[in-house]
Amino acid sequence: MAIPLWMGAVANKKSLPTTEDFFVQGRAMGSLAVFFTVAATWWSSFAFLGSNAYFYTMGPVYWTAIAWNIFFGVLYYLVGKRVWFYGKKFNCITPSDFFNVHYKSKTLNLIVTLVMLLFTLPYLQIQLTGGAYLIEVASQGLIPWRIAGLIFYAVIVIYVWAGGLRAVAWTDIFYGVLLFFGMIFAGFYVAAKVGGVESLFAQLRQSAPESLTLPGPKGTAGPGLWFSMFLITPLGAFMGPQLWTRMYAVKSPRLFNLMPFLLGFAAIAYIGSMLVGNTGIILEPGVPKPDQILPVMLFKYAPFALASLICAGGAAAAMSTANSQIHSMSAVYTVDIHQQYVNKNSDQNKLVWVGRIAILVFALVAYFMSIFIPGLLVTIGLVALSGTAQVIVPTVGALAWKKSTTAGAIAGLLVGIGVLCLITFVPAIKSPWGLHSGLFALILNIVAFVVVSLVTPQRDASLLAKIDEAKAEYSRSYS
Amino acid sequence: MSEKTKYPLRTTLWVLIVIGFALMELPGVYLLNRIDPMLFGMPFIYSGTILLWVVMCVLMFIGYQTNWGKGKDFKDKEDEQGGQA
Repeated sequence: MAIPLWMGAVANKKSLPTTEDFFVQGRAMGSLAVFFTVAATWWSSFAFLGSNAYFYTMGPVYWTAIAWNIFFGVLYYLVGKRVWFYGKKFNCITPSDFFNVHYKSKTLNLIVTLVMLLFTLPYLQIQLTGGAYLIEVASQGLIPWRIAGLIFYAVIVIYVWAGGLRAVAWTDIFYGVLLFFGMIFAGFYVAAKVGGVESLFAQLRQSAPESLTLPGPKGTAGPGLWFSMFLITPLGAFMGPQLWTRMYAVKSPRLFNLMPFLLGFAAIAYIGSMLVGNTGIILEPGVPKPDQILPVMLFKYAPFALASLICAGGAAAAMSTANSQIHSMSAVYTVDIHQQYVNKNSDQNKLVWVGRIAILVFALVAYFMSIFIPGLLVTIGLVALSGTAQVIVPTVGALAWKKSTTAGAIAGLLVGIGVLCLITFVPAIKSPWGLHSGLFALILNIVAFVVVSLVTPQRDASLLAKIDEAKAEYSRSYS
Repeated sequence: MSEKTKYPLRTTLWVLIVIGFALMELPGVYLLNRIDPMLFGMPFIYSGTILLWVVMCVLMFIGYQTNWGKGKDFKDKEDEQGGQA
């Protein structure tokens, strides 16, 4: 935890007191930094702890992560590069700036902003919970997870406060390396305790064959969930404000061409979680908090120093995502809510301070949510991602369909979010065909978007002409 | 000239990528969802996905190398001006 604090201090010395520097690092983030910052933000508690718990309790459904990682990379090339282009051309800082360029609607901007802020909170919550679980297990229960969560909260706030996106990016390079190797090594290390990979699955085949195929031991994680997670997870993460900010911050467009390969290749790290979760079924059945299966196994079966190092990787996953989320939520609040509705005349210095106070407040809300809203990390995470994933519809609509209208975008988002909330909070209402509520909501979002766009008046002619011109420039200048 | 005829590699690449995703997801998951044949000591749902992952990584790398079908000589605007990837 000392390393990020030191990096935050150094980054603070390099930063400038402007919103553009604090939020998108002056649009000059180098490729190595961008890849690691995206990967570390992408690998969160959801991936490092939650994935183990899913393999441990739900069967192989989380293995669809291999495909969703590749899809995530493809999204970077297909959508991210265009978002970067519009961000640069029209000087965008927050996601709603992009929508303002394409739809010019304050109502739509506000809806997008609220969706992003509200649905990022539970995702931030699971980072704090995950980090706190790790500290609790590592201290053998000496530091209860509620206190551990507070320690986490303090470290994150201090260094994001100090250094803006530059601090976040630097620490993410350190975390990214630790995570990739930590995840793989942990898997093979614990599998060796039952005789290696082949022996592990031979034993499971005898004792728990239901854990080796869909729909898993509980019978609830079938092909519907496999496919839903494949779409919802990358779309939701990609549309989260923390990754959106990173798209604007990129210096060279060529990086977007490479992202599908880099992110797809990095997917193999999940082999570690898969092995830990499956070995846990044999060695440690019935762990009361399944999200703790990885640290529980490591501290019981690995040397203490090794377990501590790998769990530092887990803490890294949680922290790097949490810091990016808090940072981007503060950017969204400052620019889209404070500057638009609270005080239009704030100077740059004051805005940076507003951003810092927002960091404090959002993190505190997430901390209290982690105490009062229980659940598996992946389950809570999927609700959060399902919310932000709804934003992909007006985004792709803006980029690819000239007939998209503002009314269509608003109707689609309201229908998508409405259906998602209904299915999440009213247990009697179920999603059909075994799909996750997020995917079902997304389908209805698309239907509403298309239907309403077809029956409402087109966007302003001068706006469409400006967008057409930008599109032509993009096709001429970029691959 | 349409993008399709101007850059045939681009079309081929995307068709292969879509097929790859279909095999990993729908309807492919119904073929993958079995224990046998065990490969690399793992049930087929795990090992079959790893094989597809290798193919997809190769496609992604070819995509990068060929500027996603626009050819090796194509340069994005900033890179043409001396930016770094």
